[in-house]
Amino acid sequence: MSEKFDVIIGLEIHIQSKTESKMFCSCSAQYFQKEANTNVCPVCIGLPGALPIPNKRAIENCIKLGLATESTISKNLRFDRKHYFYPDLPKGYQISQYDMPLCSNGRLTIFDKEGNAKEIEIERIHQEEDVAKSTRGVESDGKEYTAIDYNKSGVPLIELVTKPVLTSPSDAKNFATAIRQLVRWLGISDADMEKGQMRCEPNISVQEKGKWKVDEGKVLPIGDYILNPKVEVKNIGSITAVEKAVAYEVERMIEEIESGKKLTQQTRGWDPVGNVTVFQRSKESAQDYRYFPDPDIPLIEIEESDITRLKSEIPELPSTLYAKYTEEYKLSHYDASVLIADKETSDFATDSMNNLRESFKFTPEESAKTVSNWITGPMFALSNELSTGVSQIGITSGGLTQLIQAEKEGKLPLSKARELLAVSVKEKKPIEELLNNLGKVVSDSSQIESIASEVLENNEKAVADFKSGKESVIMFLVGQLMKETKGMVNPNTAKEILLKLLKQ
Amino acid sequence: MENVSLTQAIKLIKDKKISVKELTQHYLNKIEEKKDLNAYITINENALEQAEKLDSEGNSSGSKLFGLPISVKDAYSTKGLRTTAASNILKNYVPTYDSTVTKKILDEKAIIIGKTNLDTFCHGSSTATSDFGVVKNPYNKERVAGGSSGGAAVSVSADLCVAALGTETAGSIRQPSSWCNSVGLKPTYGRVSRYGILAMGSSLDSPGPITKTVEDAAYLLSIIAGKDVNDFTTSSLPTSDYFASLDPNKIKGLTLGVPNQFITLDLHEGVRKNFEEAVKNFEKLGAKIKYIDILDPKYSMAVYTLTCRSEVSSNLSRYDGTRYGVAGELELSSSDYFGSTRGKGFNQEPKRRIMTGTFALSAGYSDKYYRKSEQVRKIIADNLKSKFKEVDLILGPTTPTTALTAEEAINNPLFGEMADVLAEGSSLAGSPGISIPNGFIDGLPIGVQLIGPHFSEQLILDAALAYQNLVS
Repeated sequence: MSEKFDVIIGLEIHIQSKTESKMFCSCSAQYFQKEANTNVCPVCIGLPGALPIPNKRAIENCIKLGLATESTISKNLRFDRKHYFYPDLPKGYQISQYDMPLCSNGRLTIFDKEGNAKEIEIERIHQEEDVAKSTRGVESDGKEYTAIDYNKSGVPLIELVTKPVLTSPSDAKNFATAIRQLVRWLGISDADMEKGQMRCEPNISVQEKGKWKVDEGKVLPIGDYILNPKVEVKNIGSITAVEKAVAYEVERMIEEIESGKKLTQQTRGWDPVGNVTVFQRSKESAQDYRYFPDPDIPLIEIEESDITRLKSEIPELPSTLYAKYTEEYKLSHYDASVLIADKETSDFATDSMNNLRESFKFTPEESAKTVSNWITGPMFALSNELSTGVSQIGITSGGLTQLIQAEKEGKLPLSKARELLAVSVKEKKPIEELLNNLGKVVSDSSQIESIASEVLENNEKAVADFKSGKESVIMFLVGQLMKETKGMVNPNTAKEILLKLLKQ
Repeated sequence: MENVSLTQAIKLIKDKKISVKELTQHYLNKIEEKKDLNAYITINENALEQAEKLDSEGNSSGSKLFGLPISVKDAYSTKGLRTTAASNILKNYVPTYDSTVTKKILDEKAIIIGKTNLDTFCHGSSTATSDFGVVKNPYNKERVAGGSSGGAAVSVSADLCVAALGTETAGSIRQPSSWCNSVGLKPTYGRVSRYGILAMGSSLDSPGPITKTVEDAAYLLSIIAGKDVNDFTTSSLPTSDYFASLDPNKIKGLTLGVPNQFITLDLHEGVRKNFEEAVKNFEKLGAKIKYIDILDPKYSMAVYTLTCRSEVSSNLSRYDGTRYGVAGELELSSSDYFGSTRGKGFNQEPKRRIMTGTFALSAGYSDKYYRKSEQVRKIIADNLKSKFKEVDLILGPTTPTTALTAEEAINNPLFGEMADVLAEGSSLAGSPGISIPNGFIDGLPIGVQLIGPHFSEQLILDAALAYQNLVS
């Protein structure tokens, strides 16, 4: 990007944990679009005398994310109080974790579009609670007001912080995408950024090349170089905006430095309309949160048996499958990525592959390649048409594997098989039924020739056009032949035979 | 109906010698008569109506506190009944939920006759910090009741209710009980739920009964003790029927440890003599006395001051005028709004403690103060626990003096800590303790206290009952 500067990015991601209850009380955690202040209780609204009761499932979700990122899981869970005054913080402190995060020193590999891998180190993943929602407004008489809705207060939040090792806007985008995929995969969050279920806050700085290093997760200057301050960007509403915001900010910072302006450590907000970052507040001095262990929640022991059980609940991870697909089965980066895009697609693919191996004796590589082609090709196209997921278009893994097997056995050409797939989806007819109503494959070349002759006889104009040089007409003639045979002939063979006849 | 204990009142009602309404009216009259003591902040204006209803229903289900007028310290959330913590910042706050303990006594058909006065937010040992006026000692109105559960202690000793609920962080049940001639039981931390009680020192607060007799304290404890799903710090250990299991004979052969450090403290001479008599009395009862050494109480004082104020500064953060309590001025920015609410609503004492606690937790100082304090706390607690290998219970004077005056309280910021010096160590360790009346010095009551290992409430009550039987 720049010749003079390195870009250093750390991502701070908050993920709303998908649990039934809030983090410290039994109010529902599903608050989206509920009438304001109807999803509250003494605990999450911070009434005098209320006490927190930790949500076990939320803690397990956090641990699972730690396990899935090869993090070290703390032997004991300790919550700390993080103090600051703000209208959306009912107790005047947030129950969070300070220096004993539940998970630490993890890693996650991200891929760029070409499939180049990069391992991103994760500093920590910890458990905390969400704050209330505050909305600014102006009354009819011009007075400004802030309205607070406590429905969201106390919802379990997982905070993940990377080390400052991302180096480009696309890194940030790819990491955010990978985390979103992972938390959905694990079933611990829906991570819909528009609903606030996942929030990304990049911390960005630019430093002169060769004048800095990372030591123990901190960016340090070399020699007497003075580090440029970092900027935190908030209010980013989508993953594409993450990339845009980082790119904008890097450019803005470099511009400021080169025009001699002094940078300050600050918080900026992303403006999705203007596509710029806007100054929010200065962060010259680190805020003192006066952390101390929350006396209302004694230390919780995390036992080995808990870890073992949680490990067993974690399905095969996308990274494991990706490695298997690309290294063992030699699928392309793109194909492998489509197969693991989400758990439903992946489960569908796995079931199909298993089916092919067990019922139809495909080799593992064959089954992978075949299923991959079907999913990334026709199924993906259909899913786009229907604006739904690949596994939701109405094809079962059983149906797909039957179709594949039928094609392999020569019961129908590939083109016909694809056609059946589309018919099954659009007319909601099961594959089995369509296969049963198939005619016979026309493979005998003399048979094809005789049908081809008929087609040529019935399409004099097309033949004339072809002979006068309009070679693309052949596709129309092929189409006619396919129609006559109800698609039960290999289109390439059909084309060959027609051409042979036309040249006679 | 004069000076009836809780267990006596149960019998009177059961035998239909008095009605619930009569008993309730009796206390309402007395409260009015003695309102200069200022023991109550709020009287339950529905008390009589509730009493009538209970009379007409009768007690066929055998509720254990049927119709008994009980006073509740104004730090417990009581649904529908104003809860102020003796602070202007909550002078119009009516909780929408009940604390676990008050819910338990209401489930047993008790009548909450009123909310008793206290040091504001439990900060103190006199009630002189209350925004609703000081509570006077019924034995000498020039003196204070002690605190922070001063109103609760007076409501019992001036016979303004059948029994009281108080709370103790470090001395707040035992000290006013000693000064007002009541029995005050501080259970083990975690024995009784704190849910709904306005938090002062979250790692210290222990709700408990203040009563006329040891039997009453045992009876009430049986009802309020136990694990609570709403309080993660409560213990899963089973409770007992402490009342039914009372056995004063357990005192025979018990070893009582008397800490030398309690005796070498600056005790008023009268207290010293009074305590020596208590020691002899226990020997008469068959107990063995052993003089032991514990860590100097000055360490407990320092640790308690730091730890408690740190927790206080955190626990008082929620009073910002946005959801309950006195509102600030709406035209301001949020931080100014908070400042105006808290500036107006809190008096000197909470402000003092918030500032000290905030300082002790702040970056650059928290290692030196808060964290160090917690480390020393563990040493104090371990030291105390180890003593129970040599002795069964610890015996000591409850307070170094009898009731002092309000001036003495107000003019010394560490008044409370010094008055509680004999209670702080056990509170920091979470240990249970009881103060029982031991006569008078110049007309002012004085108590002695027994402290036990965790969850030894039964043994403490047994020993206390034996003593009560002897001296009364």
